[in-house]
Amino acid sequence: MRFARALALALLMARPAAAQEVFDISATETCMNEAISFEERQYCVGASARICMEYLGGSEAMARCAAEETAWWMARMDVTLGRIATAENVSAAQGEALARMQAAWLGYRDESCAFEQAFGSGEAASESECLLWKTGDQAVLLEDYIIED
Amino acid sequence: MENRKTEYKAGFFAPARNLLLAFAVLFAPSQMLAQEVTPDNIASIAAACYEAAGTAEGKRACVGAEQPACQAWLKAADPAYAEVPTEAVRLCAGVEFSFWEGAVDREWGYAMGVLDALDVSLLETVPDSPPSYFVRPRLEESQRLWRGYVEEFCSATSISATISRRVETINPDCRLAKYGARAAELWQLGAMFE
Repeated sequence: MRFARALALALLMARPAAAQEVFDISATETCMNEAISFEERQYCVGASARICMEYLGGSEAMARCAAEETAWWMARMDVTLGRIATAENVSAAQGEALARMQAAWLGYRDESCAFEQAFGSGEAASESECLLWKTGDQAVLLEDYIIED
Repeated sequence: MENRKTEYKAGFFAPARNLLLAFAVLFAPSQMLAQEVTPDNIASIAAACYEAAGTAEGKRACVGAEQPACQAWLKAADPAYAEVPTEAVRLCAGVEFSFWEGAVDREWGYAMGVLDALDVSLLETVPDSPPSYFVRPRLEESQRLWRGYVEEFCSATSISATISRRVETINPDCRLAKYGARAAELWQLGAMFE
């Protein structure tokens, strides 16, 4: 019984680490908290994914590391969009312009990143990385809207 | 005595040397001196920077790099621009934008030319990649969507000004940044196709 438990534990430990287990957003988060300028915030994009990629290696794992950080930027961007749209001095027309811009951005991002995968190596990593850079850049850009100088 | 002699020499030659220096400065070719950035030459300075840079990152760094110098020159040259600084931004950015707008078209044309040259043979050389007749429509759609996004993005810059109470990003300035980044991106794409 003890042997079976030890074997199960050993097998569990030998299992290759998944991106979700290795990925930690703290590098990107800390970078964003400490960044002062817009340019510094732009450099934060990909900080956590890079660490995850270096640890795991392999294109499939790289794609998953990028996807993990992309999801974080998407959630962060949603919060920012909500704050912009509900800001008291933003007019209805400006709110509509914001929605149009975001929809246009999403279409452009998805099409250009789908191309990266189609023409590039064909691996998921090229599309995932493209999605990460484009999503992170847009999130930083939108956050700049609500940061007072 | 020796010291006095030196002083005398220095005292005698110093004005002549200064005069020679003044002549050198006055009649030196303009490129030997630090170049003033004006609305007349900002586009050519951006073009020279873009051509000299060998990487997409280097090319991106050229975008708007001389805008502060151009605006400062305008404000010094005409007090009207000092009173309404947004006009200085509008003029300098508008002139530089004309270069980047052309650069996007040129890089697009170049990338498509290389892609067309690859044509269907791509399927033979890179078995897993789709041939250019499949890639090209995707790229064209991506370029169309990009143009739409830039227009929407630059139309929405007033929101930033409203919320953060900062000076509104002037439209040519916004488009300048976006077109500059896109030109570098397309240059990289052309290089990838080669």
